[in-house]
Amino acid sequence: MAASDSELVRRILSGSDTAAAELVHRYQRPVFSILLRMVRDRTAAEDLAQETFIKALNALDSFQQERKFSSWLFKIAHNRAIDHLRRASPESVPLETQDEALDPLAVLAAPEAERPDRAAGRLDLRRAFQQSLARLRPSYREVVVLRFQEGLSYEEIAEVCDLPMGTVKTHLHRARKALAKELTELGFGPGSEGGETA
Amino acid sequence: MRSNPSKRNKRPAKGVGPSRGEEMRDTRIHRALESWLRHEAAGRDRRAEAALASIFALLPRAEPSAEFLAKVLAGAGFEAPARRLRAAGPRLRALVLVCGALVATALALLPTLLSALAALVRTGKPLELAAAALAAGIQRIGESLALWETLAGVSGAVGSALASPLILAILALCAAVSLLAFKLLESLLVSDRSTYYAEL
Repeated sequence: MAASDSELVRRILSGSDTAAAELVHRYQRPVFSILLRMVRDRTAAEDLAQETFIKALNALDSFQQERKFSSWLFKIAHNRAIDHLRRASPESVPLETQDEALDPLAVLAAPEAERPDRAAGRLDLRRAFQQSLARLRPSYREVVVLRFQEGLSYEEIAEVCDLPMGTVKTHLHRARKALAKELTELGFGPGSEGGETA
Repeated sequence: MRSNPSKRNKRPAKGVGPSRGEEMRDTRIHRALESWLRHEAAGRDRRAEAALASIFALLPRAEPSAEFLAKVLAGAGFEAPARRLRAAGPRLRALVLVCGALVATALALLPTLLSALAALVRTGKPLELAAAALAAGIQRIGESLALWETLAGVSGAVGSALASPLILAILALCAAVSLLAFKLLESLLVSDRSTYYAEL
């Protein structure tokens, strides 16, 4: 049976290399996946994931063991991503709305992604979904990924993103609606005939 | 009216389109998407959330590079453990298991083999074989020595003959006559040489 996170943390603190490898192996995919969704650059995401784990392993003695390890780790990843995006290209922050301009993740508002409706002819279903997701506001995209891809609770998302619970719920609700609208406009959804391919 | 992209891509060209597995996954995603959008439209939040989560579960997950773990551990000052068997591919795992089984079998048979070897040494068979090989080698050397003895006799006779002054004088005379004859022959050849014949 696999050891729990807190058991692995205890073993790492007593100097176990194997436990460190086990913990990194357990979380490398979700951390990388979240960061990739946020920064949308594979190399940068891998560097940030590496920094996240190194920081976490080095600061493990400050981790309060009554907390959930995954939330603590994802919070480090979130902070690294925001720092990276702030450094990356502040001039590329869209200025359409004050809200977006203040959003440190706004640089990820799919600057290079073409409008899905223009490219619809070349998109398959998965790409359409991924592109619609990429076109969400970065702060929405992050909560969507944490909630629906990683299965975090509202409380955990609030902790990771440092947001009030109400804001998390609002972001999730709006993100879902925006995503649904994009995909419906592309012709997907109830009544479409893409499912006939089986 | 906007056309449906899924429908348009329904029959991809052979060899370039998605595999059967991908098509099936696309179908599942499509159904989950329909279900989600239906729940969204109806305002059923909980069901919509569950359906959206099922879409994410069907999407392929990005993974970091193979060296990621080792880099992290090195960066944090931990030693990377030996490559884990579970991280290896199924073929490599099977190969490692077969090798492990062979090693285990060999180890199990080792005491039996060692005791058999010890018994062989005790009976003196190796010593007997070594002595026979040595005797055969010595016999061959003896045979070659007989030939050497004959050659040495011939060499001794020639040497003693060369040591006598008369024989040496005869040899010197022969050498002088040979040299003179060679010189005469050379002069004859040089005097008779003509380009006339050469031009024919």
